Amino acid sequence: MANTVKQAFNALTPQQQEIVRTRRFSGARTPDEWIALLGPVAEYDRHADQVRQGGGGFFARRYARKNDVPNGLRTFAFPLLAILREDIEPGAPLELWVDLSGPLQSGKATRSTPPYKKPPYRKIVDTFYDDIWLQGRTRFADGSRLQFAVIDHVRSTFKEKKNPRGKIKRKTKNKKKTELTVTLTASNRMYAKTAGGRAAPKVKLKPADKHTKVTLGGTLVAPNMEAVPQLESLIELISGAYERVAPARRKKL
Amino acid sequence: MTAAFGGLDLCSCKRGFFTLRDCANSAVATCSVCSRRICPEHITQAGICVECAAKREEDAALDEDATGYAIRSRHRWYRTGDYSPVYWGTGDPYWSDTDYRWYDDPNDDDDGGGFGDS
Repeated sequence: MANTVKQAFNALTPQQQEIVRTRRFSGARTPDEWIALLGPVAEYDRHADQVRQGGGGFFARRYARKNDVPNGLRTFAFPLLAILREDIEPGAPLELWVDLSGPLQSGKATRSTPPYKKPPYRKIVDTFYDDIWLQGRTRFADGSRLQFAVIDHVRSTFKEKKNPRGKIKRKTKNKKKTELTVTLTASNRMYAKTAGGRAAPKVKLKPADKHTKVTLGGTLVAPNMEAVPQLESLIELISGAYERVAPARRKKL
Repeated sequence: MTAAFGGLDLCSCKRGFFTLRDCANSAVATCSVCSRRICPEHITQAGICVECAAKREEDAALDEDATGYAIRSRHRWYRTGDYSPVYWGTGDPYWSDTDYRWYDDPNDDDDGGGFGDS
């Protein structure tokens, strides 16, 4: 049976293969350029996931497991491009920083608790990680500027105990929360601050002489470590930001 | 129905997700459902515009490209997400049943269709 995953990987450009290998990329490109770059990677991941779930032979499944792209790219970052593309000023770049290499790395650890005891465990250490896996910045056709970030906050709890037979048992449990934050900077020539707008856990409105800055954020509890938030959660925050400003003039864009 | 202005035959679809504005592309075809003039980017292979395809929930026709996906998502978000977009386009009866937000001041310098100040 042919290894279709390897064939699909080899069909990618060297730059796309590098994204699959490192799970990291960044840059400033137009949405169309991002879609052209990431579309084949998302398609490769879709195929690899199908194979991994039993749609291929042993070698194909192993290759798919070893060369997997986290689903955050295919189910969140990539579909977001098509939506932002609609509002981005023609020719304006979308700056993206994507790091799908995972949160449990020493460089992403923010702090650890000193070892403590909680029977029956004789040693417990909590380590906290912050993983900013998606960040973006762009300018919309209406002159507004948008910044967004998706951050995984992980608490990794290491526990050690001695069972009645004297054997040492160790286990690690990870819990994840995903924070989404959006900042919309709307020009006062186009928009004015307004009351209302959908509720969000964190809302900050900062009017200034030339623009109004609206920041919305929220945190979602992830059911497991692999869970990716729904794209609608980010869309909801951007919508909420736009609902806090109203058009201040009539103008055809 | 055409969106001709100053001899230009422009696409009648609206661009945008959180705000709506006119599409600046030249029209090349007519939607067989709404009879509006449509550019190549906003026409589906079925010969209808992406906005009509989204209204009729013809998902297969909209999965072809990024524009189709975005318009389908936009239509769903306006319906299920209870979102009213900001409207920066020229008036269009096609959008009359959509709840959108725009600056409605009779004393304002309405430049709709004219040369907009930058």
